[in-house]
Amino acid sequence: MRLGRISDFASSAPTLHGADCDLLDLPVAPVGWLADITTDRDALIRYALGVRSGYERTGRIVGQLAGLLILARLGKRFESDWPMATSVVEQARQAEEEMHSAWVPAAARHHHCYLLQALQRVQNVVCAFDRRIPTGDLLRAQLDGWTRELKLAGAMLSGAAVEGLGLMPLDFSQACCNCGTNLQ
Amino acid sequence: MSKYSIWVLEYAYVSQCAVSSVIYGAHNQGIRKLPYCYVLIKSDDHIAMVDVGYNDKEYGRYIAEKFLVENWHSPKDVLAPCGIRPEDVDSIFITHAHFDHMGNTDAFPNATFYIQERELTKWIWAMSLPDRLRYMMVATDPSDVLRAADLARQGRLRLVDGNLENAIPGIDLHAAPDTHTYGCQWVHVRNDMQTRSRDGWVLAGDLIYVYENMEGTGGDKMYVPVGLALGSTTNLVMTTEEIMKSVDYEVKRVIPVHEERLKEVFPSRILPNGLRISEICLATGQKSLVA
Repeated sequence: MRLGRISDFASSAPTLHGADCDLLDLPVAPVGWLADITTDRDALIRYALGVRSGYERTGRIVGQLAGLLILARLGKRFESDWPMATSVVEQARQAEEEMHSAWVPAAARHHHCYLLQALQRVQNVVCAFDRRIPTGDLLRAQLDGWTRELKLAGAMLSGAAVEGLGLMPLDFSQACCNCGTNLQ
Repeated sequence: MSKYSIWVLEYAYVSQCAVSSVIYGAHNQGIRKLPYCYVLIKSDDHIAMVDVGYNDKEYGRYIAEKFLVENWHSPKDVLAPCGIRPEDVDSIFITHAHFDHMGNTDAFPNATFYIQERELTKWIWAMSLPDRLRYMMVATDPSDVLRAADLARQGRLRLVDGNLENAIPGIDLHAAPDTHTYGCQWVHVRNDMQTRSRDGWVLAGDLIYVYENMEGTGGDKMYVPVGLALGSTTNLVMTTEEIMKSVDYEVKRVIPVHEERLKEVFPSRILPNGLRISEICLATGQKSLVA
């Protein structure tokens, strides 16, 4: 494991935004925490193992919710008792449990807090399923708000990515473009 | 009279790709170059594309290092030799939702995107599965779905349910469910605008990677499917038959975008940046970009 260069993925994310970009509200992503000399590698690995399933699950929830929002917007209705919607609610509960049960070394507190904030953005959407879902123009406004929350959550997950610790928003291991990996 | 010009535009490549990844069962048969391309389709009244590649800002360095993808260039640079800017593109047909085909939607601010509804709904389903079934969402990026949600907000996303004739005039979308992915589609350009076209071209996406998928590996003219099927190889083979039938079994009219030998079949030009433009056909009155 090459911990010396593990922030490469996150640091490659774009940092310039238009004046109306939703991502201007993005909290500052944790930087430099892996270099904390008081935390050894085993502690970082233990932390990563603890949060990884919650991290990946949150990413998948963002994707599922985004897909549901597309179906809702193009179908012009949204029902919170759709099986796909109820499944997301349960997954969000699991993600919260996984995130909170992880052991967190001092150096990773900011990172962990950042992940919890990303999860909170997701929860903001999921919790609204308990309330009455509007229709028509109000539904459109609701969907706009949810889309914004998910964009922020997705950007935060990318910002918290650490390749060397296995925290990646996309699993490339079986990707179409992985042809060269076995040749290295 | 031909309505559309078609060019295959290389935007990156893998120099050393295992042959087995593009031809099912071709184990221990060495390596070959695998170009990464998208397709530009241009007429007097439309500028369309098939797929958009991936976003180098988010993945580029990682992919370049990890998977040996080389020489990525932006749509702005890749389209420039054709006299086109990304903002000029009005219609984009996404063959499937893998990140290297759908991962750069943000680069095209004025285009309407067409994707199969099944591709979306099945990815939602796949993302809901337990970790042990993660293979079912291989190569998809949840943030691409997120970007699609933003496209829907802007009214620039069309979900297609099955086949769609004349998505734009003379261009049909054909569903290929449960093949390379859950909701693939292929694009049929009827360049003479006839219902039973004698001048048709098929942009096959990843349903056909290379000529061997259509012509066999030993000159035996037997279809051999691509190396990755989330659906079934049966469906891949039967889709190949459907594609071939649509062009009267004329192999040259099916465009495998990952095929390096396109440059031997169609007039092509290698640009100073090392990327290739292959000119598939020219609309009446359109000047060649490769001559």
